[in-house]
Amino acid sequence: MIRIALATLRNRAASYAGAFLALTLGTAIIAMTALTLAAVSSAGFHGPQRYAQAPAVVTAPVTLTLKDDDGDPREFPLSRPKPLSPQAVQALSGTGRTVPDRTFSAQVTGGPDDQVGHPWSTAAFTPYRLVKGHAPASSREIVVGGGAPELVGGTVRVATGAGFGEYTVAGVTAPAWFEHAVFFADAEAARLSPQVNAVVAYGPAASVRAAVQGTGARVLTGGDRLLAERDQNGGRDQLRDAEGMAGTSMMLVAFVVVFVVIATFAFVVEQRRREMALLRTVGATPGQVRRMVLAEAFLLAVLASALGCAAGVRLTGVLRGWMVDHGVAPSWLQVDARPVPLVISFFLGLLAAVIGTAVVSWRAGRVRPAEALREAAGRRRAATPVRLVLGGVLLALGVQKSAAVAGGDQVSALSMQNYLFVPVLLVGGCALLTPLLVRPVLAALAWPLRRLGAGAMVVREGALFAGRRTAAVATPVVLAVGLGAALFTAQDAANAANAAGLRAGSSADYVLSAQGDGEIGSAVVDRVRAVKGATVAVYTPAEVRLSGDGDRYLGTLSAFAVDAGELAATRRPAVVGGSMGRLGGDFLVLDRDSAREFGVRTGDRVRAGLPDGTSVPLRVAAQTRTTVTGEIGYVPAAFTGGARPTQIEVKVAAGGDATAVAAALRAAVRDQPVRLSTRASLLDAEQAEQQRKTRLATGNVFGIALAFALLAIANTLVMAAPDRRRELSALTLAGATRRTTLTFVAAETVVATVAGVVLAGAAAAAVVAGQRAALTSLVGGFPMTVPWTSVLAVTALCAVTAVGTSVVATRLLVGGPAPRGE
Amino acid sequence: MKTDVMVRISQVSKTYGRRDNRVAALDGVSVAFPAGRFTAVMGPSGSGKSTLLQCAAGIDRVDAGEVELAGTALNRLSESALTKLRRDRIGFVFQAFNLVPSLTARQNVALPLMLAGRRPKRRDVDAALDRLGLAERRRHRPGEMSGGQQQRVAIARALVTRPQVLFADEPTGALDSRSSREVMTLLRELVDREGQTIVMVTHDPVAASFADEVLFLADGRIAGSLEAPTPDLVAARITKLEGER
Ligand SMILES: Nc1ncnc2c1ncn2[C@@H]1O[C@H](COP(=O)(O)OP(=O)(O)OP(=O)(O)O)[C@@H](O)[C@H]1O
Ligand SMILES: [Mg+2]
Repeated sequence: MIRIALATLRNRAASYAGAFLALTLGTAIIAMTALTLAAVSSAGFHGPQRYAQAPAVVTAPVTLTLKDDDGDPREFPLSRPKPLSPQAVQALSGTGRTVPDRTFSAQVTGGPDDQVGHPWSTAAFTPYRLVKGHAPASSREIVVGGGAPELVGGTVRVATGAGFGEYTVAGVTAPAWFEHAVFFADAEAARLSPQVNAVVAYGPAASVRAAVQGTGARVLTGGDRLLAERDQNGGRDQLRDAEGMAGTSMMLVAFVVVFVVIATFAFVVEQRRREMALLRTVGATPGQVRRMVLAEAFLLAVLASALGCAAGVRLTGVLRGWMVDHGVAPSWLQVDARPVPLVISFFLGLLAAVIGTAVVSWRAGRVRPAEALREAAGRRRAATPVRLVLGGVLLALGVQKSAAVAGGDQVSALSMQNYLFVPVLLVGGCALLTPLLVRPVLAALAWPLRRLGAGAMVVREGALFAGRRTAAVATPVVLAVGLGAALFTAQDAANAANAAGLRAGSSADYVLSAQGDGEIGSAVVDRVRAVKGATVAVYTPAEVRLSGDGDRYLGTLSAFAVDAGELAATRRPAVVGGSMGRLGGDFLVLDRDSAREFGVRTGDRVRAGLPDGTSVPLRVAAQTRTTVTGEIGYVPAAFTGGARPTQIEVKVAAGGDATAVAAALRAAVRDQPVRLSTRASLLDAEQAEQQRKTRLATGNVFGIALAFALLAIANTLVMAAPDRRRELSALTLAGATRRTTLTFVAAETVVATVAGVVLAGAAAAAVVAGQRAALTSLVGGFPMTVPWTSVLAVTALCAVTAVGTSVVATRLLVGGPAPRGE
Repeated sequence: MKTDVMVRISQVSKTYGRRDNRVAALDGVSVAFPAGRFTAVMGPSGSGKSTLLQCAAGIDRVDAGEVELAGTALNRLSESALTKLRRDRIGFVFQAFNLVPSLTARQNVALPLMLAGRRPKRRDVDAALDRLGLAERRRHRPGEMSGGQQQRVAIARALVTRPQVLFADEPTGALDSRSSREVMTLLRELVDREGQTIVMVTHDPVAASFADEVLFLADGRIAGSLEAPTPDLVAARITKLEGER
C-alpha cells in the first residue's frame, strides 16, 4: 500500500508540492506568532529588580490587605505608598549605613514619557553602571539612565513637579528595563522631592527592625523587596501592547492558515478522485482508499508541520524586530523557542491537513466504483452539504455574536482585539459558501463575458464544471479581501466613535495636561485656579480598591479625584442611576458596567483603598452609562491618596471672555511642563495618534494573514494547472490559439476572484453594520468612512496574483496535446 | 460441459437521470451466465450492455431485481463486503483502459493483489504480462504504451487474481484485427483449458464468434441469443436489431 501511495505521490508532485508549501509556511507563521505570544504574555523577569542588591528596604506600608471571597487575606500593592516618616528615617541612621531613596517624576526634554528621578547614591544598589562620564558632582549635574553617550557634556531641560530646570549631563548609564531613570545629586534630589520614599539599610537586619519598631514602617527583605518597586509584574505591563498585537495576530493567522490548509488538502484529494475511483474498481475497499489518502496526507503534513515549526522559530526574529522598531514591544523582549507553542502550532497544522483530507476522502471513498468513475470525469457539486451547513453555522454564530455586542457589550466593538471574532466568523462563513455564488456571479458577468465570443461559453462552463477549482481560488480571496475590508473599516469606525464619544462627554473649553507621564505642579494648579472668568476642574488619577462588608475585595477602579462641582462644569457623564446633584463629601460615581462587575448598587456603602493605602468610606451616589472610556469613576477631590493631578479642564464661565481666559492660561503654564490645548484640538490630535497606531497594528497583523492568503491563491492555481491539460488541449485541437486559451484561463480566474470579492464585500458589510449598530448605541452618531485605498489595494493584489499565476502556470505547465492514458 | 450458474440476474432494472431526462438503461432483465462458459453480449450502442456488465459485476448497484454471484446475493452486501467479494472472485476489463497512470504495467497488474493484502509474486505478475505479450513493457507506464498494449495490461490485471468470472467490456475495441484475434484466442484458451467463466461485451462479430453463446440486448431488454455463433450469423442478427430501431 505504501508503495502505491509513493507511486501516486510522484504523479501528483505539483499538487503535493503546493500543499506542502502551504502547510509549511502556514505552520511557520502560526509558530512565529505563537512563540511571540508566549514570550509577551509571560513575565520577562522575576524577583526584585531595582532593589536586587539592597540588603533591606524600609518603607511605609506598601500593600493594602483585604479579604478575598473565601475570607482569606490578600495583599494588594499600593500604587503610591506614603513617604517614610521622619522619625523612622531618624531612627534608622543609628543602625549602620543607610541610603535614602527618592522617586519622583523628572522628564528630560525629548526623553521617554515615564522618566523618574532618583538621588545618585541609590545607583549603587541598583543595576545602574556608568558607561560614560562621571557621577553628578554638583546640584546642576545629572546622570541619565540609558542615555545616549553623546548627551554627556550637554545641557538639558528637565521637567519635575517643581517646573523646568537646566542641568548638565555628567554621565550616562547602561539602560535598565524596568524604568527610565534620571539621577540627581543627593541634595538636589532632596530639594526636588523632600519626602523620603524608602531607606536602604545596610546594618544588621535585627537592629534595623528594632529601630523602626512602632513607627509603622515596614522592613522588606528578600522577595518582599519587590513590593517597594514600581514594576511588580516583571515587565508584563510593558508588554501589554505587544501582547494585544500578538494575540490578535495569532488568532487571525491561525484562522486563515487552518482555513486555507483545509481547503488546499481537500483540493488535493479532489484532484485525485479519478485515481481513487480507479483503485475502487480494481478492488480497493472504501476504507483502503481512505486510509491510503489519509496516510499520504499525514506523512506529508508531519514533515511540513515540523519544517514549518523550525522555520517559525527563525521567523520570530523578524516579528520581534518589527515590534521593537515600532515601539510595540520593549527592546529587552526575548522570544525564544519554547516547546508548548511549537507543539500547538505543529498539531494545528497537522490537524488542518488531516481534516481537509478526511472530509473529502470520506466522501470520495463512500461512492460506488461505477459512480466514482463517472463522477470523477463529470460535473459534480462544489457545494457539498457539509460545507454549506458549516458555512451556515459560522454565519449564524457571527450574527449572534454581533447582535450580542450591539445589544449589550458595546464597548468591545471599540477594540479590534475584542471584536475580532465577529469578522472571523462572518468572513469564514461566507468563504465556505463561495461555491453557491459562482453561478450568480457568472450571470452578473454575462455581458463582459459575451465579448469573449465563443469564449463566453467555454469560460462559463469551465467555471461551473470545475466548481471546486473556482471555489478553491475564491476562498482565499474571500478571506483576504473580507478580513481586510472588515478590519480596516471597523478600526477606523472604532476610532471615529471613540473620538465622538469623548467629544460628547466633555464640555470643557481648554485642557491642560502634564507632559508625558508627569504631573502638574501645585504652583501651576494655583495659578490656573486664579484665572478669572473660568471654571477650573483639577483631575487627579487615583486607582481605588473597593471593598465591601468585612473588607471583602470587590474590585479595582481607575477613578479620578475631583471636586463635584468642577466635574459637573467640565464633563457630562450620562447618569443612569442615582443622581449627580448634591454629591456630598463621600461620593463614588462609577460606570454601570464596573458597578455590575463589582456587584455594587446605587446607595451602597463601600470602603475605598486610596493609592497610598488610606481607607475611606464612600457611598455609591450615581452610576453613569459606560462609554468609550470603558471603566471610569469619580471620588471627592480630597481623596487623591497622595497622587498628583495630571489634567486640568477649564470651562470659560458664562459671559466670560474666552480670549482673556486663554491668555491667562498661557501665562500660567509658560515655562512649565504642562501642555495647553483647546479641547477640540486635543481630541483631534489624540484621534490622529490613535489612528496612526491602530492602522500600524492592524496593518501588521493583517499583513501576515494577507501574505499567506496571496500565497494560497497562487498555490491553488499552480496546483490546478496540470488538471487543465486535457481540457485546454481539446480547445487547442478545436482551433483556439494559445493566446485565446490563456484569455479563457484568465477570464475563468477573474470569475472566481469576482465571486470571492462579492462575498468578501457582503461579509465585510455585515461586520461593519453590526459594529456600527453597537457603536451608535454607545456614542450616538459618528462619521463613518471606508478606507477605500486599503480595501482596493488588497483586492487588486488578490486579482493580480490570481490572474498572473494562472496565466503563467498555464503557459509553463500546459502545452501540446493531452498525454495518453489519462 | 458444466451447467452450474455462475452469475444469475433476475428482473434487474436500472434507471439513470432524474425526472426530465430519465433513461432506463436496463428494464427487467433476467439472464444466467453458466460457469465455465464464454458468453458474448451484443447490442446497439446505448442498449445497456455496459450497465448490465457493471451491475452483474457488482461495480454498480441495481434499482430493482437481484444479482447473484456463485450463490451470493450482491444487493444486500455492504460496500466493503462487495468490494472484497469482487476482489476475490471477479476480474473486470473496462471499455476505456482505466489503468492507474502513475503506476508501471507491472505495478498496475500487481495492484489487485496488493489491495487484497497479498504479497504479489513477481513471477506471477510477470507471467500474466508475458502471456499477453507484454514482456517488454513491464516497466512502462500507461502513457508510454499504445492503446492495444494498455488494454492487454488491463486484461492481465483482471486475470492476475485468478477470478471465477472475467467481465470484459469491449476488450478489443481499441485493437487492430491481429491483436484483437490474439486477445480472443487467449480468452478462448482460458475457457477451454482452465474452465474460466467469461462475460464479454463487444461490437465485433468476429470477436463474438469466439464465444459459446451470444446474448443480444436492445433498449435495455434481452432480444434473443445465439448458440455456436459465427461472424456471419452474428452480423446478420445485429443488422436486424439495429434496423428495428
Ligand atoms: N451516468 C449516466 N447518466 C445518465 N445516463 C446514462 C449514464 N450512464 C449510461 N447512461 C445511459 O444509459 C444507457 C445505457 O448505457 P450503457 O453505457 O450501458 O450503453 P452501452 O450499451 O454500453 O453502449 P456503448 O455500446 O455505446 O458502450 C444509454 O442510453 C446511456 O446514455
Ligand atoms: Mg458500453
